[in-house]
Amino acid sequence: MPRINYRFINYLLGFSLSLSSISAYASEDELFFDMPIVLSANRLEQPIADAAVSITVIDRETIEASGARNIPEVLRLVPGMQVGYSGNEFGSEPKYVVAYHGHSDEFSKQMQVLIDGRSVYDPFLGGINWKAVPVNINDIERIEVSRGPNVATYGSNSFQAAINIITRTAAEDQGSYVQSNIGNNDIADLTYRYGGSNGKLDYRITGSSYNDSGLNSDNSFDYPDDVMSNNIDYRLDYQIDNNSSLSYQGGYGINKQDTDQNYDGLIPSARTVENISLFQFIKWERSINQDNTIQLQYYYNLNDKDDQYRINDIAISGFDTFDLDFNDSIKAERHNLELTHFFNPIDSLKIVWGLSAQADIVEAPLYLGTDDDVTNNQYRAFANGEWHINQSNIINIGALVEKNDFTDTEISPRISYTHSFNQQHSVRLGISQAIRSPFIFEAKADRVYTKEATLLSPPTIITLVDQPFIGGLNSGLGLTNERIISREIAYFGNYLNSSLLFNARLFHDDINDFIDTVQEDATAFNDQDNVPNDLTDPSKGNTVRVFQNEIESTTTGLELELDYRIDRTLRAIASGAIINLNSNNTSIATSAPQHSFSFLTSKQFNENYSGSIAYYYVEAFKWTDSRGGTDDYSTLDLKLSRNLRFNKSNGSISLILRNLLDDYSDYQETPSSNTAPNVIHTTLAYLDFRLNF
Amino acid sequence: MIRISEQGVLQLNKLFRLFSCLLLLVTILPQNIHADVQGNNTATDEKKPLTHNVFILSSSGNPYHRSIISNILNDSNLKSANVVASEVRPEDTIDAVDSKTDIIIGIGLDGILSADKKYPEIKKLFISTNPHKYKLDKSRNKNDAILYMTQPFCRQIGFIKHFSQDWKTISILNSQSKPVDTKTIQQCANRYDIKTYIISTTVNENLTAKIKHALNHSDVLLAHPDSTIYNRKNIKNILLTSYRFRKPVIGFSKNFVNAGALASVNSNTEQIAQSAVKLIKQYFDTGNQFSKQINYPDYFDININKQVSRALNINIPDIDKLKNDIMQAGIIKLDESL
Repeated sequence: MPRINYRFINYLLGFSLSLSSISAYASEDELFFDMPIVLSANRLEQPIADAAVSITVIDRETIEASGARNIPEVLRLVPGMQVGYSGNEFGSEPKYVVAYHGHSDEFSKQMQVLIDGRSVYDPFLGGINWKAVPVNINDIERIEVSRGPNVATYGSNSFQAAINIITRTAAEDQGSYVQSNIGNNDIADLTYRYGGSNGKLDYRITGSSYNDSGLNSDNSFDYPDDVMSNNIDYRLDYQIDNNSSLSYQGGYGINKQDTDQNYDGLIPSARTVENISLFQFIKWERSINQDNTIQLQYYYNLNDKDDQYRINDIAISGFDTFDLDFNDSIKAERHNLELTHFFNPIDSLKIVWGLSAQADIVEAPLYLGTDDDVTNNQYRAFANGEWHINQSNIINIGALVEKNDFTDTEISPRISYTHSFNQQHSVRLGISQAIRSPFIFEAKADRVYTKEATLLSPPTIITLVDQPFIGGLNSGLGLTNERIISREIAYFGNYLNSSLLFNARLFHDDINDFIDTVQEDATAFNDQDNVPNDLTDPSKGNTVRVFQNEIESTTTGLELELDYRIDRTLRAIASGAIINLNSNNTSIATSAPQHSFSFLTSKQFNENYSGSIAYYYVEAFKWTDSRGGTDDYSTLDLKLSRNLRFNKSNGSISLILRNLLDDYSDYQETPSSNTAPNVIHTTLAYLDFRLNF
Repeated sequence: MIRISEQGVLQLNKLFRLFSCLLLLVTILPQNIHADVQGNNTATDEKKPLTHNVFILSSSGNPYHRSIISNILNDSNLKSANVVASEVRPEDTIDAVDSKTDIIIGIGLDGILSADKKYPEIKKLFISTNPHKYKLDKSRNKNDAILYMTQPFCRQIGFIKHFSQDWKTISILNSQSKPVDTKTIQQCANRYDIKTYIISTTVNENLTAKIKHALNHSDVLLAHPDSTIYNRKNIKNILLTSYRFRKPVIGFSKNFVNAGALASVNSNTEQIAQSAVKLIKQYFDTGNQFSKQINYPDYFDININKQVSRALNINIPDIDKLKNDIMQAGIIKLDESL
């Protein structure tokens, strides 16, 4: 039996407590055990009132109450946000378009979208192909929408707004989960997710299938727009030690989209476009302590659109009919490496800074006039500081410096000052500047449909599109970055013991050098490599369409948001926007609704039943590539849910009714002809079944 | 032939004693050197008047127990006592524990069981993690006392009440294997005019659903040491879910706060030792009687995660005032009455 001298104990103690893994002593270990730093500096968000810009947060509860099947549908709750479903006449496949404060065609180029810090912005055409984003709405925990420029936080292209989609960690999704939607319009969705853990590893894998028959048409044109989307994504979170973790995500999706080339210069060609999307995302994080976290991440995105088709029997006066093969395929890749350091040197100061390098590689023969890859390398440095001068005053300062292959190095600064009058009321004054660099198509476009017709003598090159596109840089036009300066005054109030949150934002945005295409006389560009010397246009003369920094605009307005938890069972969310948009370009000037409004209320009736009602109103506006624009429209959605509880599982079954008011179009009310699509939203009804087991 | 006088015999005896002392010194010298190298030379071997004999019995090889023992031994309040420590198994009997031993401190289950079974005639102070680990038999051990390492629920509820007046309902996850004393919790909650929402969980249940349910019905989640709920595997899920709900977690350790809990009231091993020494001193000062049988640490820390408080937009009250408030007399009486 050892009898231990106390000095001997001291000696042993020095050894024993130096061991970090003390797991054999279950009793005290229960009390003193080491834990990983879960809420590290980068996982903690600042209070909305402290943020440098206005942020709308759509939480899980709201996503579920909305009954949305996809992400764009949820974003209608954001003040100033426009959501449409394009069935335009330009031949590309119909897609969801989400834009903020107008300025958008079917590619919403002025808005960044991130998923867990990974940009899904299309490096080639700009914007987001929402249908090809391989993230399941059921895996999303919250969506943060930064209203206003915020490049210092979300990176370039966060020009008018940025959407940051945050999925749940693997640890939060344990067990099996199945969800299914069945309804009219051939709605047939199925999701299965399994999450588990093995020691320090948490993992989740989600497979989903999303199908419907697109929208209906109210004219004689039967628009083929069926959607068949299959995705698989996974996430592995490994806790290396208490301070370090590794997260690895990946996804693969195949999106098949029926479409019909219906541009008036060509004969319609119905076909199915296949989009393959793939991503790999790895993030290492080390929390040195609560105030000091380093994060290193790398991701790879691939969007591979396969769209090859033939148009038969093209007849042009003076020529025999002929067939034409199109290769409209686009392969876009992105590599991104980013280092971020979050630290708080003193209690009152939070600093985030980082460096990133990005390479965009695109192969798009039809658009770029070459079979070779075209690349755009970008390098960025960014920093943000949030200084709490005292309990009442906060200053936020941030900036991003960006260098890319197409334009000069530029800095985008931002500063805001927040004053809290008391716990309930605060006001923020902010000014920020941001740029949007031209994406690859804008910079390097070389799209000319030509055909050598050999039946005549001598053979002639004919151009089949009235306005070939050429890139602004190639043509020597000095295409430069778009610029925005945004000023805002925002008020935040919390009332009734913080159960009612209200914020209002007055803004004034000046946009300069907005990039658009202008039609120019081709002879001025005939010495360019990418412009044929003889553009024989069958209808509109010898012209080309050139990207230029042509447009200026001023947007002023007011946005309001309210989130009222009336009691534990009843919640109401409302938002509204008044926008006044002026521009030297009429398309831009009418591209945002002057008034829009949304309202969502959800109620838990008892342990078994819950329900929600959503109402949206949007005043008439016109997407910049839409010929007819939209009329005023309003929609009403209902959801009624019944919770299900079984022995070791639980779930719910819900009836969701969407678009209960009049049919409407949110993209193009009046097409140019009855052979052009005029897609309308009709009433949808579907059952949503979900089960955790 | 060598003749040894009586004086010589005495001198030989002295020599023998001296040799024995030298031998003993040589035996323990390396350990002493190590101890000095470790810089823990706070105690000395100087002979002091042996006013009290204290024997510490602890479970074998437990670093937490060793830390507590080390702090007890180094506590200046016990300088005048002869304190000896030994690691034991429940069936072990220590010869050195005899009728001269004034009190035994039993630490951990093995130490407690050994002290309780083998030395019924000697008064004892037990140190245990929580009432689930060892509950004092008040009638059989009527002269003994116990010190728990955890914080009493009343102290925690008082802490929550004083932290924010906005928190009206506390949720507590309760496992079947280590059920909390709902009666005491309810009494404490009533005292502070605060509601409690206690949710039962079982091992095979979906813990996330339970946490969400608890958070939906409360303003703050109070965690307590229960490894079936709060363990390395679940802690991430619990903290992330609470953060998603914008509801704070009140943890039970500094590590918990470091991981992402908003705050905790907790005692480290040094403070547990300090609390034990205070009880021993009080025991000797009051004629070898404990004033209370069930005790919780008088010494504790309040830890706050400022980043979490800022992210959740929760104001941090004055810590010293908070500590004073929750130390007000009577706060833990209800727990002691168990």
